[in-house]
Amino acid sequence: MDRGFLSAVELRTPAGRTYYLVALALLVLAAVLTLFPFFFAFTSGLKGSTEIFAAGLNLIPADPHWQNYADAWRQFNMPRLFANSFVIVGVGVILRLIVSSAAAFSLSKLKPVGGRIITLGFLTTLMVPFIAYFVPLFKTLNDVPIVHLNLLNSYWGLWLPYCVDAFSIFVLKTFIDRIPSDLIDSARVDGATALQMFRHIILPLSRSILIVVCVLSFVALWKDFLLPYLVLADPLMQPITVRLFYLADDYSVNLQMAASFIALLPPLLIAILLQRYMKVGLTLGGVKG
Amino acid sequence: MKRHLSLAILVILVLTGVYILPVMAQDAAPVPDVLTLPEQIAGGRDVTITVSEMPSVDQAEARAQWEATAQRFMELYPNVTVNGLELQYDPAAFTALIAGNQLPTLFRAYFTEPHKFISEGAAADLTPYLETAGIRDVFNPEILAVTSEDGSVYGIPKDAYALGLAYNISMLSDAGFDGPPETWQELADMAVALTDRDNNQSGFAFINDGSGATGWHFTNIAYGFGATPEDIIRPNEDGTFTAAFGEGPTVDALQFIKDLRWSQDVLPGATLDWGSISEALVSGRVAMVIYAGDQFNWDYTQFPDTDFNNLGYAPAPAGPNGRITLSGGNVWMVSGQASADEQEAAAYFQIWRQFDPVELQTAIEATTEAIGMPTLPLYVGDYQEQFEAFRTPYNKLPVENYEPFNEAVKNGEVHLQTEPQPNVQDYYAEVGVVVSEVLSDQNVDVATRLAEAAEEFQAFVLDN
Amino acid sequence: MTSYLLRRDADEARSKRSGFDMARFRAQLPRQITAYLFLLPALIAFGLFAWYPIVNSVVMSFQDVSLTGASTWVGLHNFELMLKDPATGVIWKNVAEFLFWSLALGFFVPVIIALLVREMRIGKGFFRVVYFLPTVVPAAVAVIIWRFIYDPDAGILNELLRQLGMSRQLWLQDLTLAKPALVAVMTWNAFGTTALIYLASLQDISQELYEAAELDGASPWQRVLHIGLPHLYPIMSLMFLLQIIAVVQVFTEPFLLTFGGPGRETLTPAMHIYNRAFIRVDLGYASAWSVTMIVVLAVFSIIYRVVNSRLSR
Repeated sequence: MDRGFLSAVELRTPAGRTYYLVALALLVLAAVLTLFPFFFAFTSGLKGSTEIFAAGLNLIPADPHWQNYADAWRQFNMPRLFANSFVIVGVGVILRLIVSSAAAFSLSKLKPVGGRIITLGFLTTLMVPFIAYFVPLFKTLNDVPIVHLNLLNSYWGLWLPYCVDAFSIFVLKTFIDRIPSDLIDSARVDGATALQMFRHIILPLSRSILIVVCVLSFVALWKDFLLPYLVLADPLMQPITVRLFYLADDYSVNLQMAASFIALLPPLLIAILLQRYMKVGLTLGGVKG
Repeated sequence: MKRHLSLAILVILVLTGVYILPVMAQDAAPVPDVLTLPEQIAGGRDVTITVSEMPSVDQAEARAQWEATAQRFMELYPNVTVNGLELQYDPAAFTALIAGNQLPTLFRAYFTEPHKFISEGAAADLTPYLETAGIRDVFNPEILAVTSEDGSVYGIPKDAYALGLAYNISMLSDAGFDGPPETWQELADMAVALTDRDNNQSGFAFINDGSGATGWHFTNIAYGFGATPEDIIRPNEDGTFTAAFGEGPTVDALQFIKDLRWSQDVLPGATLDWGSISEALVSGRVAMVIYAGDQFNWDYTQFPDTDFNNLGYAPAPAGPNGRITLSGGNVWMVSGQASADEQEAAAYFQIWRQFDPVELQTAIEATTEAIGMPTLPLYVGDYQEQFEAFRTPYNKLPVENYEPFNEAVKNGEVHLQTEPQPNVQDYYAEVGVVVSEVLSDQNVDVATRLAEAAEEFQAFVLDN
Repeated sequence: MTSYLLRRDADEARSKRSGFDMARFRAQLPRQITAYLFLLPALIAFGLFAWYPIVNSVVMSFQDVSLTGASTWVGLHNFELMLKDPATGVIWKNVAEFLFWSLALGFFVPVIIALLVREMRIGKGFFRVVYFLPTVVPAAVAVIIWRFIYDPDAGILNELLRQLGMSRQLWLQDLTLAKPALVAVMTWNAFGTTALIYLASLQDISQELYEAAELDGASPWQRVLHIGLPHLYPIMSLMFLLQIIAVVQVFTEPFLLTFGGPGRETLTPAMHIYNRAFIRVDLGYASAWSVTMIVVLAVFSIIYRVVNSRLSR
């Protein structure tokens, strides 16, 4: 029988019951406050353009303008924005996963000379705030050293920096460390190449942690603003976060609210459907914050 | 049956006639023509240019027109390819584009921006093209000066406006005023009477978001209080500059704003930027606002329900030096990073679409723009007169409401004062923050804080 | 392959006896090459898009950087300018105030939420999802919604105040309210993550501990105080550090919601870096701020570590 600070017996006493009800009331209150902005965006998106400024609470519009959602969908060109976001985030997550898992595998099982220093080098990037090297990063994207490519206004200008994630490497390495080396050694005896071990042993065994890293990365990249804001000047290429910021001022408040609510649906769905994985990720997330 | 037939004919007549009639009914003022175009561009070599501000696909009509225009130019000069970009001007994003060597060949910028592009070598000298096309002298020299340096012209002005005062006609008349204020003191007094907090109604507003736009509106008020560009940034004989806005009329203007906020309490609480100040005006939340004449176009397209008959426009109130105002507008520039051939093609594309008589006619018939806005004359002399006569039949706005402004401009009462130079954007940003502070903190000492800002500007921008 | 492995083993056995020898190195080489091939993508990515820019940031802080042309060395000039900048004092004062508000509003909320949810016998999953939802909301979208909630003329908050007979507030435009208003948005956006981390940690506590405490006569409150909270301390202390690091470098919320205003009330180091780099195009000065920020955070982390290890000893 599951118990908390209070035992099942205590819960049945009047005092225990009061404790419990007060706790429940507090949690419900917190839940209402937490959900309110979503609800507010949704119903404000249903109001007329002048109705939204009318005095009074009017939380639920008397005559909902469902048309606003259709208008916002069309006027903000939502299909295009979603497509952009999914391409940017999708490819970004896949590349990050490939780069990070390969590095984690190497550091954990292939024992490269200087592996500890390299790991330390990866981890120090976690200590440096992004904004502090953003300006030179921008210059680098503008003219990549050695190859002299310009990645600005191209999705590569996002995808490549998105591959840099010491947190993913760290989490994956910790996990792979726990995969018994015997498995690797016996595969090696059987003549497997490193690539085969990676693909047929490490990746399948790390499936659960890979999903967690994938979901966390998806949410993090979907939320990103500054990098796409400055890298992508072409409105046709911008993800939904950046485009909404540009467009918001151009439209009446009710359409802004409708558009914001639409924009929130994909990450919300992911949060609800993949809750199980996020939960695991969170305990890892504690390391990163 | 017969009745049906005549009905059908009527319908057809209406359907077709609706389009023909207005054009026929007009006195058909001739389309002005001064343009001389070269036989060939770029010596006939193949050249591709990119052009910003192409309408997005959701504005289907405007997009189709844009593409048709580009197509006509490419037929005129088969060696030129015009590619549109939906990119719109944004100061920070374009700074990045300069750095990235990624400017479009032809792009639009604000009047405040040419200096940035010229000093970074990112703007092409367009003088030879303007001269060949015979249009350099057609432009209002005051406006051409905005985009010129050392006698060379780096941009083609597209439109120009002054900062004036827009007002809600019925609110003013309900409060017993028969016209807009003549002086800044009168404006303050009227604003008190026009403020009604219970109905979310403020007497007076200007852009107050603390951005460069705030500094821009504030500077217009400072000009109204007698400041000259040299009172703000003073050029010294040795070629250096002194930040002088820490004293004099600028301080008076800021004190005026401080009183409006804290003594008279006539300003709105919301953060208003360029777009939301329009919304505040058309939704009746403010009675008088500092307004750019071309913002009526914004209202016309963004807030179609607006009752334009209730909105008036007057020049900025008069100060010690009369009605002094800042101008603003848009200018087309050509990338200095493009090849000579590209620069030439881009320059002529803009000149052609702005001056070709057939293009002017096509554009004015198709445009969704609010013709009749109280803007500044872009050209001078006969061309300007012909240009106005040509456009008048297409007016969509109640031009009589803008009479106070238009008359004052015609009578030469409105004096355009240039922006302080150099680094005007940095100055606007700096002073915008100070205005925002004064609006939020009644303990700020106006003179001390402005002096501190001037010192910072001196050390970091002018001396750096 | 097999023969290679056998030879390697033999080599290894030999090298253990005689220290370094060439044969061992030659045998190790292919394996090292493979290892580095797997590391290569990460090394390139980190090199180009993290290490090189970080080093460059330090270099640029001693330079006058031109956007398109060459840069010139200016020594400590940029750092001297920082001392002259009237914004410097304002910014660090803002950081301190932001820290105060974010710890006051945000630090204990997740702890309390976690303790309460832990107590629930049903509906745990529901609360977990609900509190978690805001954390997936991009700040760029959150601010559009919150801007309207805070709107002084038409916003819901002022409407509520009016219903309660209180006078309206300017919220984001108000000198005293701007920071807490901003912190409230940040807290809404982030508390779920922290709460769930605490909750996961609380679930780890063995139920027998509670039972034992109960037998010893500890009241429920004492159980929270002496079992629950002490179990959370290590992770709370980590969260404390992380929250401070996050607040010192906050950018998106003030950038999108208040643009540093009213006045300079919500101007943060990150926003100042952005303004100077991308608005004034003074990259060298912006880099001086970047370096300062790195140093401040590093010093802070070291102090934290020292203090923390003293305390836990």
